[in-house]
Amino acid sequence: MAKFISILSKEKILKDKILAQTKLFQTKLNLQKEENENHFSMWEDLEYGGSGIEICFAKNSNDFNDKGILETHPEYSTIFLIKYFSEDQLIVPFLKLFTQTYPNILIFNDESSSNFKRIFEKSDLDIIKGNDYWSLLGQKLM
Amino acid sequence: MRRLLKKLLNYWEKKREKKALLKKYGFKIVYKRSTSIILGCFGQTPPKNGKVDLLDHNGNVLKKDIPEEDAAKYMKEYEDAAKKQYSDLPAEDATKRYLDDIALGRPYLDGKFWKATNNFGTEVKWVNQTSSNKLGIKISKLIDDAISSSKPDKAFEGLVAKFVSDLEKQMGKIDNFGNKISRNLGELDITTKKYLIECKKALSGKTISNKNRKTEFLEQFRRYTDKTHKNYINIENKKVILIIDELTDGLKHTNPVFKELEDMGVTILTDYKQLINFK
Repeated sequence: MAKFISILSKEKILKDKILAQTKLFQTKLNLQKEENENHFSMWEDLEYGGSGIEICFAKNSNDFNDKGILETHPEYSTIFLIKYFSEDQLIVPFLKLFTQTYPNILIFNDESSSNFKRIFEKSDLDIIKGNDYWSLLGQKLM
Repeated sequence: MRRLLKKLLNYWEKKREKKALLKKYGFKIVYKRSTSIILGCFGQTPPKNGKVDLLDHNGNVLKKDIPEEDAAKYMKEYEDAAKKQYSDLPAEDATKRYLDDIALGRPYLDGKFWKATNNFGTEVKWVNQTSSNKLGIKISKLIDDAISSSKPDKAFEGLVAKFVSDLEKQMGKIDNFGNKISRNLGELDITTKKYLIECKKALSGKTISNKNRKTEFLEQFRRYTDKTHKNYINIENKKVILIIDELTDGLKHTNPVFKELEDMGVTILTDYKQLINFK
């Protein structure tokens, strides 16, 4: 089943700039893509494992209302979602590239059980080796 | 001289094979004519490159613009794939049924993939896991690996799949487990002949209170239930079941999102053992 993580920022980042970064990643990894008004989907061929992620923008900016993080980080707002499937191998490299340009973003995952970490920063990404999304999103709370 | 003779024999052999297949399965070959407008009139000229279209017995186009000498090869491929997919039918019936599947957009085997076309016209493709997956691993092994996974969502999928396989007589045999659909259209957690089962380890009240996340969450189920959706992937219209193990962050069973899912035709379970009631 598809899952989602939210990408949040203190400063406003224009959709065009996010798309430019996304397309850079897609081209670099030679991924196939499909783009429509609010989504940018990219994936590798099934022959090669079929990993894929989708960048989801809101139709209206007030559609983003991450109560889960706004309670602790009220200065942040969600700029887009990443939709992914099991065994994904693209989120970590995508975020590593994205945070080179936007190092101050936060990654918020509220889909895991309560004993897992939910908020991640660039420093969490930097220590990850390999591409398994779980190495990022599966960090248990002490 | 000997080489020429060999070439001729090969040509005759291919021609004979093609004729036999055309007769046996009712394939048709249409010789291409390039059409052009010359001074306001339509003119047809013989093909320069010997390209043909291959049609099934009902006139549906199977292959377009292929070299004539490849027609027999394609017909043989269809015949072999049909035998594999419908091993219980006589070859002739199997091929006709297989070709009907292609024409009607029903799933058909193409090498290691299942392919189908949804009502919207979108091609949907996924790996055939029924014999073994691309690494030669059987579904039962994938389920065992998932159960022992350290990832709670994967382990939960494995646990449910194991339970479903124990109910094989009533729910049908598992034909997909954690199987991706091409073009990033979705992932089939567990399917049997009758059911499409989505597993969710945890669903948060915060997810559902975020309008955009909620929209994206519901969108997945439209792909399983709305036959007119561009990205409809429940090609065989299986009954959709959503199993949620844990409702977190204050999410209650009474939340309207569950009513929305039920209105789409989704059955929601909060305990996978309730599957025992499904026939």
